[in-house]
Parts: sequence; structure tokens; C-alpha cells
Amino acid sequence: MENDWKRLKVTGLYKQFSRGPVVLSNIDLTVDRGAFMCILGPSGSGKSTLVDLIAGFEPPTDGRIAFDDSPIHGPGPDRVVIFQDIGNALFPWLTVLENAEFGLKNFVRNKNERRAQAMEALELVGLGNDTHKFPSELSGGMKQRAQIARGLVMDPHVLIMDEPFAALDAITRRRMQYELKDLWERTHKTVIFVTHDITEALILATDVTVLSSGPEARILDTFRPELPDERDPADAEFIAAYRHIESLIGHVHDAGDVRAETAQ
Amino acid sequence: MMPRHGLHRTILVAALSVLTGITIWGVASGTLVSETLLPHPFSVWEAAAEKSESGLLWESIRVSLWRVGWGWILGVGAGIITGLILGELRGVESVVGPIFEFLKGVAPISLVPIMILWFGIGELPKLLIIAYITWVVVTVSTMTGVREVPNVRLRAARCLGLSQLQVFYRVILPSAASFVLLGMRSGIGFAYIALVSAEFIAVDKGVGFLIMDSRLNLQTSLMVVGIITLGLLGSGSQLLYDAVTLQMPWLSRFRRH
Amino acid sequence: MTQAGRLGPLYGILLFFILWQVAAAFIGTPLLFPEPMDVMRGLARMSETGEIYVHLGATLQRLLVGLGVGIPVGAVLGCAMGASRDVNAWFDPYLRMANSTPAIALIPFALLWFGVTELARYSLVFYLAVYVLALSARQGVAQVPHLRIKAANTLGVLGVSAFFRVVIPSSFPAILGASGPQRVLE
Ligand SMILES: Nc1ncnc2c1ncn2[C@@H]1O[C@H](COP(=O)(O)OP(=O)(O)O)[C@@H](O)[C@H]1O
Ligand SMILES: [Mg+2]
Repeated sequence: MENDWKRLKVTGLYKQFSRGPVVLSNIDLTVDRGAFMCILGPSGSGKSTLVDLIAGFEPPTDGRIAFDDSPIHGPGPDRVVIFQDIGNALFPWLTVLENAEFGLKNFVRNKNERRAQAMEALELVGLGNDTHKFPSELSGGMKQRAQIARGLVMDPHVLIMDEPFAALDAITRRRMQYELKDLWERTHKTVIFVTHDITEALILATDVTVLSSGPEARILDTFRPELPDERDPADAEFIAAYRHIESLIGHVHDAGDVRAETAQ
Repeated sequence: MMPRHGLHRTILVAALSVLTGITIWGVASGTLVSETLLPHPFSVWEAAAEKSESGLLWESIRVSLWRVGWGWILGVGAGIITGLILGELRGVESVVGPIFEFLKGVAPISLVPIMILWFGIGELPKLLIIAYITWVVVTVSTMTGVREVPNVRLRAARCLGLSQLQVFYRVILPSAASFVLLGMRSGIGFAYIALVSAEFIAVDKGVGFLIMDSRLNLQTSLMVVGIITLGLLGSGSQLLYDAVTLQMPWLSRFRRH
Repeated sequence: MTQAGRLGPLYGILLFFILWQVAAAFIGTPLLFPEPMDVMRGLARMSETGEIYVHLGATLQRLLVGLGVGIPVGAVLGCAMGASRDVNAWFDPYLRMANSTPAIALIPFALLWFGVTELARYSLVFYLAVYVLALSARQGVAQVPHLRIKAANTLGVLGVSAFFRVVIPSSFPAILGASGPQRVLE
């Protein structure tokens, strides 16, 4: 694995599932090292498809995905995914600690060393006292923290998060957003974060990419919101950025959004 | 849904029910129904005591347990292997699945004549019939277990750097374990059906033979002893299985979801 | 479902007959292992002479009579057991006994009581239908979502009438699912 990469580049990406419609059309995207890239779009627009391609779960129909000039090959620990599916993403027969160690087994031979690294990641996400619990004993927020620790411990180039907080209640969701922001500020890990929640995107992102509603979703805009480090949804600048995104999405056609929402 | 009553009351009612049942049985036998058709509870007890003393009952139980035990173990081993292989071959399951469901529905007794034709009348055909039906049941559940692994779980493992082979034994095996355990349990019931089927035909020992033989000799009490023994063995085996699998802490992990 | 998924069972049946034919060719002794073609011919001959209809008719009649009486009895028993702890405690020991004794072991008993008559067969099918139905109806009733009963209660449907109008219809899938003839055919 190259370790001195500068950017993840997606160029001319198309995706069509067999005999289905074209989902993604001519996607160009650059994620700089250390950025927090939010991919925003209505439900059904193809956000998950896009990150599945980046994660290597699905092959692109056309186009290329590469760290600088070395293209990606299938899924790998340089692009760990945090899934939305709270119930199935963790391994239910393993404790929190064993879940966090799961991927390390291939890379760190020494058991104590492995344990120490997993513990460190768990403490980072605030699960230091719950290491011996099983996933079934955790709340939704704790499960997602455990998943993040399991990913972080692999020290990936990019952490890919596909609507990780969508299944949580509103209060927990907001708390997790600020915790994640805090975590990112401490680690400066590159993150690709998918969401359909504009506020969530603006709280977290250094970069925002807005996807049009599907089918044949394309990129409407990519920009760096000019917001202070401390994000407050009540700030005037925040509201202005919010309006901008809303106008972008609303621009396409409202009926499409409704169709996509009901299809979900 | 159910109103709450204490456990004591449940036990009391159940005990009362069993007592009433036995009393009705005792009163009816010899008065309403002839004793050849419905032997008196006392004569059933006597028959049991007599055959227990002569050792016939214990010998029958020993032989039957040996057959059902080994047949089940063979069937479980083979079923786990075929289930894992068939479940892993994507696309094959939808083709093979219905065949196994069909085989599950075919009564084992219909196989007894063919087994005897092929393998004679020794222990082998009996073992094979029991092993066969257990194999079918365990294959079906193992196959289901492999197919039911959530896609997200497989993806999580792949992006954490596991190879296909590692995904198989570190994710698919543990995920399928709870299904395998369930299949093994229902395999017990099927194994006993197969045991009786095998022992009804061309055999000289075993609890099933005891039932058949006492019918021919019109020893109805002994027949009842045989049937009750079978029931006790069947439920005892399942209780034992539950107790053993619950006693293994490492197994209880796989029941979490 | 994919195309292969929908056609899968069909391929399965085809595969089954091919395997059967191949196995028969290998073994080569029709008496020990009949070929599928022979079986088909046998079936055709029996249907020409009408023999098969007599057999099929008898089997169907057994099923219909035994199930026709057994299913309602078992369903009512199971629902009652699901509704009341006392009823459940009363019948539970017998259900357990029935469940752990292979029905096939009762054949000699049925023959003793009824001789080699239709009644012996009806009674076995009846017995199976009763306990299988009772088991699944009981489970069906126990698994009715509590919320659904609460919903009925807020609408003023209470107690016994809630049981008949909400609990019984809710447990119908479980009851119907158990009525499949599969287990009774043994
Ligand atoms: N495996 C697949 N096969 C066929 N169509 C798919 C598949 N996955 C997603 N799609 C389609 O692609 C579109 C985008 O889906 P998705 O990427 O999940 O959207 P989002 O994550 O933005 O809600 C949807 O119309 C969906 O039906
Ligand atoms: Mg999605």
C-alpha cells in the first residue's frame, strides 16, 4: 500500500447494474488527503452505489478510481467502510474488543500488540469501559462507535461512512455528529461521508459534493463551505450554505425527489 | 397475552391433569374397554418392572440408542459438510434446495425395503437410514445458515482485509452455527422416526422391535411400555442436547443476533 | 428474485430425474433400483387400468377425513391453550408426550384397536393433525404482537371479543402454515 498518497481521484465514473438503468453518470470527484468529504443527495440518487464502487464492492461500468495514479483493486483495508445497518455490521458472536481486533489479525501478529491497538481505538471513541460487551448489549450509538473503532484501528487511507447515523434517534445522531467531528479534528483521517441530511453535512464537512436525484445521477456541485471551525446551524453563514444546497437539489425537479423517497 | 399465574400453579394443574388422565385410564381399562385393547396402568407397570429385571428392556434401549446415536452423528457430520458446500455455491442452492425439501418429506420407512435389498439385514441399513434422514435435515439447515449471512457482514469482513477463505471460516462458519445447531436438534426427532421405521422391519432387537413383537404376541402392556420408552428416549435426547449445548459457553456466543 | 432463482426449482426437478436415471444405469438391476422411465411406465399402466385412481383416491380420502376432523380440533385446542395458562398447563404434558413419540410407533396400537381398517388410518391422521395444529396454533396465539391487542383495546374491543376479532385472525398464518400435509403423509 502506498503511504504517501495525496488524493483519491474518481474520474469519468459510470455505473449501470445488469439490465437496470444507468445509476451514476460521468462522476468526477477528488478527495484530498485529510479532507472530510460529504456526499449529499436525495434517497435513491446513487450515493451508496458511489461509495460501494470506491470501497471496491462493485466494479465500475466505466471510469477509474485511484489513489494518485495507482488504481484500487476490490475491497481492502485501505478503504474501510462504516455501514448504516446497525444490526448486522458488527459480528454478533464477538465482543466489542474482539470486533475491534477482527481486521488486525492479518496484520499484527503479536496478540498483546493487537489488543493494545484495539483498546486505544475503543478508548478514542469512548468505549473503553464496554470492551467485554457483545453487540446485542449495546445501544445504537454505541454500536456505531464500535464500528468506527473497528475501522480506525486499521489505519485506512480513507474511512468511508454510508449514512452511519441515519438509523439513530435525532438526539443521539446530533451527539454522534459532534463526536465524529471531534474525532476527525484529533486524527485528521480522510473521510468520505454519505448523507441525505443537509445540516449533518454542513456540521461535518470540509468539502461537499451534491448529487442529483437518480436515475443517471450526476454531480451538481462540489464546494468548500466557508464556515468557521465551530459549526452552528443557527449561524447566518450556515443558513446561507443550507439554502445554497437546497436550491441545488430543488433545482433539478421536485417530483424526482418524491419518487426516490417513496422508492426507498 | 396470557394472564400471569405463578409457576407453582402451572405445575399443580399439570400434575392434576396427569393424575386425572391416569385415573381415567385405570378406571376405563377392563370396564369400558377390554384389557387387551387398553391394559391397566398397573399391568403396564408390572410389564416394565418384569422386563427391566430380565434385562430385555435395558438391552433394547441400549441397542436403539446405539443405532440412533451413531446414525445421528454420521448424519450430522455429513450434513454440515454438504450444507456448507452447497450453500457456498451461489445459485446452486435454489436448484438443490427443493430436492432436499422433498427428501425431507419422504417418510424414512419407504426407504427401509430398498436399504434391506442393498445392504442386507445387519446393522448397516438401520444406521444408514437414520444417518440419511439426519443428513437431509442438517444439510437443509446448514445451507440456509450459509445463505442467510447478511451481505453487510460479508462486506465488512472484506473491507477489513480478509481473503475469501478467511471470510468463509471467520464469518460464514460462525454465522451459520446457530442454524446448524437448530438443524441438529430437529435431526434428533427425525432420527427417532427413522429408528422406529428401521426397527419395525426385519430386526430382532431394539425398542421398535419390542413394540412390534409384543403386538404379534398380543402383549399389549409391553407394547405400551415400548411406546412410552420411545417417548422418554426421544424427549430425553432433546433435553440432553439442549443441556449440553447450553453448557458450552463458547456455543452461546453464536445464538446472539 | 433473479431469473435463475425463479426457475431454480424446475432445474432442481430436472436434475433430480437425471441423477436418478444415471444412478439406475450404474446399478443396472431394475429390481433393486428402478429407472425413472420404468416408474413412469408403471404409473401410466396403473392410470390406464384405473388402479392408480383407486390408490390415490384412498390416500386422499384418508387425508381429507383425518385432517377435516383433526385440524379444527387441534386449532381450537391450540388457541385455547394460547389464551389460558390453566388450559395450557392441563394439556401441555400430553402434547409433549405426543411430540416426542414418533407417530409411526403408534401404528401397531392403531392396528390393535381398529384392525386393518380405514378407521385405523383415519385415527392416525387425526392424531397427527391434532397435535401438530395445537402446537402451532398455541405458538401463533402467543406471538400476536402486544401492540395489536392494545390497538384493539383503544378502539373499545376488549377481552373475549378482542381474542376472537384480533388474536385469532392474527395467528391464522401460523395455523395455516401447520396445515401443510407434509408431516401427515408419513
Ligand atoms: N445491486 C443493485 N442492482 C440494481 N439496482 C441497484 C442496485 N443497487 C442500487 N440500485 C439502484 O440504484 C439506485 C441508487 O441506489 P443507492 O445507491 O442505494 O441510492 P442512495 O444510497 O442514494 O439512497 C436506486 O434506484 C437503486 O434501485
Ligand atoms: Mg444509501
